Parts: sequence; C-alpha cells; structure tokens
Amino acid sequence: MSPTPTQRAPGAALSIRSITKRYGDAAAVDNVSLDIRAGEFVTLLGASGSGKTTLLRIIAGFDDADEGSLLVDGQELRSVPVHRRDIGMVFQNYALFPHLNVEQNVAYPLRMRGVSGVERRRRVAEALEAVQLPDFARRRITQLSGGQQQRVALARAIVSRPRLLLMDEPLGALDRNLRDALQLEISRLSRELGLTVVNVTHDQEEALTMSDRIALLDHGRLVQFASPDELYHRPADDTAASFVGESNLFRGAIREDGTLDLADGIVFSPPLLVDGTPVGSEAVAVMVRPSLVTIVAPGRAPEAHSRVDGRVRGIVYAGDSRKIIVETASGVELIAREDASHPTDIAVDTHVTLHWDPRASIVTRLTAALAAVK
Amino acid sequence: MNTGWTVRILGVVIAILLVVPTIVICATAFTSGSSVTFPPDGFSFRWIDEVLGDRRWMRAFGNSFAVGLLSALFAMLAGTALALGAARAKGAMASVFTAVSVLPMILPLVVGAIGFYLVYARLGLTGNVLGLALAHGVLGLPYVFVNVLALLRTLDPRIEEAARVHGAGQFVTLLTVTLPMIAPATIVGGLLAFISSWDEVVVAVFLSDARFQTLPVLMYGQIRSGVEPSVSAVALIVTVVTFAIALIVFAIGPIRARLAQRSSR
Amino acid sequence: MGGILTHQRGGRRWWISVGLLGLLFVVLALILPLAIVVQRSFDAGFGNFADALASASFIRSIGNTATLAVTVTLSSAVIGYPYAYAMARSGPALSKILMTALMLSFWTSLLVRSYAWQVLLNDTGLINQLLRASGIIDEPLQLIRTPMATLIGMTHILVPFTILAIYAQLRGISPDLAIAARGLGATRARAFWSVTFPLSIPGLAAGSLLVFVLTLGFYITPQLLGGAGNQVIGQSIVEQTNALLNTGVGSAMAVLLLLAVIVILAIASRFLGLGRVLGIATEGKSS
Repeated sequence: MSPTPTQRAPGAALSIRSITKRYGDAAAVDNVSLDIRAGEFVTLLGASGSGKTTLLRIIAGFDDADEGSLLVDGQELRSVPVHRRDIGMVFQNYALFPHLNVEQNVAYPLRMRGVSGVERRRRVAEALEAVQLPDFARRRITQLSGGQQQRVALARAIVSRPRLLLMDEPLGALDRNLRDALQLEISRLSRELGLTVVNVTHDQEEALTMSDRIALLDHGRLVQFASPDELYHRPADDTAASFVGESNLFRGAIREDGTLDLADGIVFSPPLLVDGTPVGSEAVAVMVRPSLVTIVAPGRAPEAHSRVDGRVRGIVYAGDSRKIIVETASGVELIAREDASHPTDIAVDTHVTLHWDPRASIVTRLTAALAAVK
Repeated sequence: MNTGWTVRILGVVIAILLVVPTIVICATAFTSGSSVTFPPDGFSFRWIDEVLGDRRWMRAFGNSFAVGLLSALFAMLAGTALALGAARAKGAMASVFTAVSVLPMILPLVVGAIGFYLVYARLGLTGNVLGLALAHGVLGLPYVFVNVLALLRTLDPRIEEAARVHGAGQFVTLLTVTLPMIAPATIVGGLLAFISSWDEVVVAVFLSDARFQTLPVLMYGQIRSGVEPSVSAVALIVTVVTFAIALIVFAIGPIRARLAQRSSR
Repeated sequence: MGGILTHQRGGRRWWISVGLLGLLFVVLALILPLAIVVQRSFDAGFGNFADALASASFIRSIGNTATLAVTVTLSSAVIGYPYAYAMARSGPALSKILMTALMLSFWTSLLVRSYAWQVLLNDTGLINQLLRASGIIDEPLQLIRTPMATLIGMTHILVPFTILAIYAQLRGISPDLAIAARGLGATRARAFWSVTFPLSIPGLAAGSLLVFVLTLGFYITPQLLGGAGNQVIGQSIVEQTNALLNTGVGSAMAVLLLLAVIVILAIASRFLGLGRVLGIATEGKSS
C-alpha cells in the first residue's frame, strides 16, 4: 500500500466528506466536511465535546464513522486497517514504549515497514537530529523529561515520512515555556518536511500560532474552516466570534435606526455581515474586540460611537495590558483591554461607559441552533 | 499511636506462635540424634546430607522442580491469555473469562483431585510430569490471572494505539508491546504458581504412583509411616526453596510498580 | 465496506479469541475432569448418593466438617483480628515485623506446617515438654489425634487469610475516625467498637467466608492431626476413592461437597462482593 520510503513525496491531501459519528441519539461528529491540502497544517479547534478528538480518531482508524468517507490522495481510507494507513501520530501523554529505549522507540515504525538495520539507524539518527535530541539514542524513556519525551514521540511519528501526521493535544501535558518552544519547533519541522498535519487542541492561541487553517468545531458541527486571520477578523457566526480571541458580543434584532434592540445602551450595527451580505431583519450578533473598546466616565462617549453603561467589576493586570471587566445593568459581562502604561483612575465599583467606533465592530449571524431558539 | 499496649503485645505473641512451628521443625533437621525432638540433640548436618544423597529424595526433588516449572509455564500462558480476554473483551465474555479463571481458587482440592485422576488415568497422564503439570498449571492459573489483570488495568491504552498507528497489526502489537509491558506481572504470577505446585500434596498424591513421586508426596508418605529427622531435613529444604522464590516475588513487586507508573496515564 | 468490520469490531473479537485459547486450556484441564466426576457420581443413577448418605461415617464426617469449619473460622477471626489491627495501626517497625512473621508463616507449605504441629503436639513434643517442665502435668497429655489438634493446625494455616482480609479493610479506614471519636469523649475501647469495628466488618466477613469455604475441602491437615473419630469429608472422599476404590461413591461425595461450596458462595455473594473475597485472598499471595 505504501510506496518506498526514501522516494516518498511529501504529505497527502486529505478529504473529509460528510463524516458523521453517532453515539446513541447524539452526534459526536455531525456531517463534517473538510478538504485539507497536501503539506497543509490544519488544526481542529474546539471545546471538549466538540467532536475534534472523535474526528481525529476516525482519521486514525481507532473508531469508524457511521457515514461519509475519508479520501487520502483520492483513495478511500475507511476500509484500510489502522496499521496500514501510513500515519504518524503524537499523543498528549507521549505514549512511548516504556520497555524500549529512545532509539528503539523511534525505530519502531521503520521496523514495522521492514526497513533494514543500517538504513533504520541512519533514519532514526536523522529524526532525532530533526527534533534536536541527537545524542539521546541510548537513553531509557524513564530518564527523559516531559518535553524530551514528546520530542521523541514526534521523531517516532515522522521517521517513516508518513502521508499524514496526526496530533492529539500534543502540548497539553507540558508547561507554558516548553509549549511555546515546541509550538515553533513543530511548525518548522512540518514545513521543512512538507507533512500534512492534523492537529487537535482546545487552546486557541496554539491554533492561531501554528496553523495554516483552523477547523472550528462546536458540538460535532463544523462552524468555520479558515485561516487564523480570517477566523479572527471575519468569524462566520457568533460561536466562532466568541471562541477565538476575546470578544464582546451583543445579540439581538436590528431596529430601523441601525442599532441593536438592547436595553443596556446604544450599539450600532455595521451594515454588512462578515460574508458581505446586507443585514436583514433576523437577529444577529455584533462583536467588538476588547482592545478596541475605550472606557470613559459616564456620559462622555462620542455621539457617533456605540456605547454601553456599566459598573466595573474587576481589574486584571496582565503584563503589558490591563483587562477591565464591566457588568451592565442587565448583568452582561463586558471586557475592555487597555495599555497598562496608560494611567487610570478607574477602580472597582466605578460607573463607566464603554464606547467604540462602530466601524471597529463586526456583525455576524447567530449559530443555527441559537437562531432556532430565538 | 492508636494502639494500646495489650494489642501490641498480643500481636507479638501471635507472631511468635505463627513462626515457631516452622522454626522448630527446621531446627529438628539439625539434630545429631535419630529422633525428631526439640530442642535437637546436638548439631549436625547428617540428616541433610543423608537426604541430599538419597536417590529417592533427589528424584522426587527433580520431579517437583520439573512439574513446578512446567505447570508455571502452563499457568503463565493460559492465565495471561485469559487476563487479556477479561480485560479487553466486552460484557458477557469478559465475565466468563474471569469466572473460569477464579474457579480453581474456590474449588475444593479433593474434588479437583478426583477429577484429574479419573480423566488423566484414562489418558495415561498419571505417574508422569506432564499430567501433574497440567493439573497444577490449571490450579496455579489464578495467580497469573489476577496479577496480569491488575497490571493491564493500569496500562495506558494509548501506548498500544501508538504501536498500531505506526504500523503494527493486532498480533504484532501484542507480541512487541503488550506482552513486554505485562511481563513483570506474568512472571510474578508464574513464580506464585510454581510455589503452589511445589507445595501441593493432594492432587500430587492422586496422580503419583510407585515410580513417580513429588517431594510433598514422598514427605507425606514418610510422615504417615514414621517420623525421622530426614523428613525434617526435607521440610527444611522445601521451605528454603519456597522462601527464596518468595523473596524474588517481593523484589519484583516494587519494580513492577515502577514500570506501571511509567506506562500509566 | 466489509473491510470496516475487520478493524472496528475486529478489536473486541480478536481479544475474545485470545481469551478463548486460555479458556480452552481450563475447559480441557479442569472443567472436563469435573464433568467426569459428576458423570461418575451418577453412573448408578442416584445409587451412589444413596450409598454415601446411608453411610453413618459419611454423615458423621459431614457433622465433623461443619463443626470444624465453624470453629476454625471463629478462632481465625478471634486470633486474626487483633493481629490485623496491630499490623494496621502500629508504627512502621512493628507493622513490618508482624507482616514479616505473617508472610513467613503463610509461605511455609501446609504440609510442613501440619507436620510441625504433629511434632509439637505429640507425647514427647514441645508442648508436652513445657507443660511437664512447669509442673502443670505429670503425664503427657493426648494432644495429637484430637479435634483440638486439627483445630490448632488448621487455624495456624488459615488465619493468614483472615488477617490479610481484615488488614486490607482496616488500611482503608482512616485512623482519624477513631481519634475524632475519642476527641468527642469516647474511651479507646468505645471508639473502636462503635467506629472502627463496624467499618471493618466487610473485611472480616470476606476473610471468614474464605476460611470457612477452604476448611470444607481440607484433607491433609485433618488426616495428619485428627483422630479416627473426627474424619472430615475430604478424608471420606479420599478413603472411598483411593482405599476402597469406590470412585462412584467418592465422586458422589465430592459432588455433594462441591454443591455445598457453591450454595454457600451463592448465598454469601448476596451480602458480599465475591470479588472482594477472592481479590483479598490473592492479595495475600501476590502482594
């Protein structure tokens, strides 16, 4: 099934077509379709229960879908058993073989493909170089730190130049600094090797940093499949808008004067939705990023700006920025982010007004489910 | 501490009572006299020497060892297979595997002994190593089963998934990853099965004959016909071997725990 | 789409076949022999059972066995509980000593232990020597070949099971509970009986059940230590089969014994998880 290892072309194109997986009545993966290009780094992003891990395990072959198909370079993958899918995989808790040393762990995929001893050792050395563990071949797994173990796992996953590299929350068990360092390394490595990568995470920062494109999943449904930039600036609906990056969301129908039907203040809606269509009479969500919101004393907001009144509930310092949490009269929580070097006389329990230029906000549809409820 | 003095003293007294019989009987092996008395008459190795030089005893020793090793092997193979089935198969079958594996533990030995005798006699499996090893193998199986099952439950399933995703089919995964990881438990179980075979009398009596006996069978016969210090000497040797193996089992325990820690989630 | 079946459901099915290999071994090596015993017991219709139950000595042995089982279970509980308590609640040094002594005894073969008691309890044995030396008696007491001897020997062999079961249970009960009770004014004894003891009952019950069931099937120890008048079922079975070559009746007796064990376990499993009983037993030999 797999071509000779040394002449392998880089990663394959993966086409996920209408994959559905049900557990009882609930759909863990609900009619998801994605077309992943060869050599692309795609992240499946979502909260727990979003179906991202289920989908990954279907691609790997540990579970089978109820409907749909998986095409790798045009060939149906669903009928191929796990061990013949030519995949490399990295797990959150490394899943290294405890009874083998580093070299034997990394060599395992090559052993399974019948690669001879000399060639095997050369490629294992190559892989260990690539993950920056060149002298670790003889070490026992128990002697390694978490970060080192994950690098060995990565080396094992890429050593046979698989068509697909799958990663299941690979950085979840590592501390912050290690995570940032490995994020860059993994991106670099996958680009160098031209691998097609499907990464699963709930950490949106990780997704935004590493991916060519992000597939945002919510309750089994595909919400949006777009580049990080697109997802951040032009979210397809309010679920996407609130998941990626911090956001202030206002949901409601649009009145004739172009403002949202809200009790807390005046929120202008941009005339066009994210996808370019004009807003209609249906309920929408207006979203503005906290960094674009200004805080002033009540009544001091410019007329043309959207503005909402509220009371300061908390102030959180985060290095260079300051996050101010404001609660409106009807109990909605909003966030403003300021440069921490600006002096401020805002304290908790102060009454304030948040305002922003309507052109800095975007308007999106509501997620289908929410719209149905409304 | 919570405990009053009475309980602690009681504990020590009982501890002494627990070990005294064994110590006494081993001590009687060193007597230079010809009867089994405690305290022993003088100190001499003559009875131990006599036993070690006696062909009957040595043959029985060899038989016991062979039966022990072979039965441990059977127990390890079958016990591991059943533990894997019990841990990984779903629902009804898993319960069947478990029930069958603990059956030997609750079965009264005499009942099993008769059964073995009736069947094995017809198959020519009495009076040889194989027959007794089969019987002891099935009796020792629970030790392997319980140990392997306990270890299996702590294993991270992702490790086997990693093997499969990187090219190993079910069988290859079992051979190259699963079995090596459960090896410590299998070995501990095997050692326990060996000991249980080494000490076993009832079934061995039923499956022995004039030409083939294990050490316990010979010992039992001697005890019934007339007590001599040679019997004590055999008891001493039997006990020493058991303790040696028990020490190994206790040494493996901590190693096994460490390995389980490494491979658990 | 047939290929999908092999790698999804194939997982479970594959492991079932692995287990079946082991199952085959047990069926051939154990279940088949048991079936033959049952078959042999019925080879004269119910005649063998009738003969067995008509035999006065068999009926007596049933009584002896039952009495023995009860007494051994009780003495194991009475001796075992304080020992387990001392092991569980003492400082590390004493606990280790007690555990070591327990293991040393537990791992000595039951034949060696039975033989040891035979030597200790006979007319010139250590016990009699001590009693005479201290002037309590002049003539040696008949200690061997009595029900008492069997009781002592079997308790010595089986008490570790009770001890380990109670110990395992006690380890799961925090000492803080009793300390709290005493802080509230209870005496040490009161705190124990009202707090610790009730919580330890499952372990005590499990260990006792195991000892009871194990006693029913014993042969070696009663044979070596007991007298002619206190034959137990195990001895009757062996007598029928080996001495009298009456495998039919012997099998019938064996089947009756097996039935008794099954019934007892079935009843007990209503109150106790059987896994606990067996898990604890094997914890002893496998820890």
